[in-house]
Amino acid sequence: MKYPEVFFKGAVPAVLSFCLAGCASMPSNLLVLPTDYLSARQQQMRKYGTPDEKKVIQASAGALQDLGFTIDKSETDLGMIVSSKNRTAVSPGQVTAAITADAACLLFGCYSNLYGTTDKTQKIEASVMVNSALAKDSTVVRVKFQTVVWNASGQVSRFETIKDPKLYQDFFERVSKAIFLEEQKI
Amino acid sequence: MKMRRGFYFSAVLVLIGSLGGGGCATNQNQILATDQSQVALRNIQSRAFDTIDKKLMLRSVISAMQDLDFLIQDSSLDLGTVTGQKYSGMTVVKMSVMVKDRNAKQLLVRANAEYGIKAVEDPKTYQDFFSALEKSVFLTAQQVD
Repeated sequence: MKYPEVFFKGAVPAVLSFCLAGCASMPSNLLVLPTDYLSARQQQMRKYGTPDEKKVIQASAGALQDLGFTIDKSETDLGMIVSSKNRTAVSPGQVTAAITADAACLLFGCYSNLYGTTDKTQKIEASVMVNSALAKDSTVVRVKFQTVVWNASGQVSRFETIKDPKLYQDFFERVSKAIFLEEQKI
Repeated sequence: MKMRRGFYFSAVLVLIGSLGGGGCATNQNQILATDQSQVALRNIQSRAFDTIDKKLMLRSVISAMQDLDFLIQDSSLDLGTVTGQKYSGMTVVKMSVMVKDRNAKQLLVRANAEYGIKAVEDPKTYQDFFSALEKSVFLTAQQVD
């Protein structure tokens, strides 16, 4: 039996690099402050005109529950709430395209499993930190959302930190509704 | 020719097998293994700060980690710990920070991070973290919310 030339030229280096990828060197800027961190702060933070930290923590937990998150952990001394939700990540367009491509490939006598690479489930994590402002007259809420998406083969297909301002605004509006206080944009 | 090909193929397979199995030494020795000496590692990962307000320091640590795109996963005022994770492409970066009293006037902050399945033991990375933390302490003090 002859092994095709392509096996030696393409596949072996690919597999080798995959094996070695586990030991790939880490980026040197791993913990360097991003240049846009102050604008990220503005997106993720809101100031509420009440000194009652506990009330704001409760309102934030309520807002998270409104959005379908379940509370995983909390530490009231530091004003922390960690929560998550598991949801579907299936996008009908993506699935249709993948199945069509797989079927077309089958017609030409080859095998592909694009369907296996389509998004299937996702876990969204939200972490809220509630701090009283230094002047003690108001309370600052900072929230961050991250998501992990798994594909139909059960592998992690991507990690993401959610940057969509709408989601953050929606969350803060819910918090401010919950505390019935005027929101002071910072 | 055929024989040589077959021999080459099995040699490559063995090589791949040994790399895949041993590339990152996943045996039990890893539990207590470090690449650096304990003292050197402590030095790299620790900084002293001239304050005794542990709560404020923990909150500064939390906002520094958030500025660095970490999602805070756990924290405890009693233990003085904060844990968070962030994503660097397809790799998960986890970091935990501990704040404890150093003496009557100072707090000691120690951070340790892992990148995927590797411990971060590079001094520059920790320097970057502490400079972010210094900025965060400053922002907290100046009340730039």
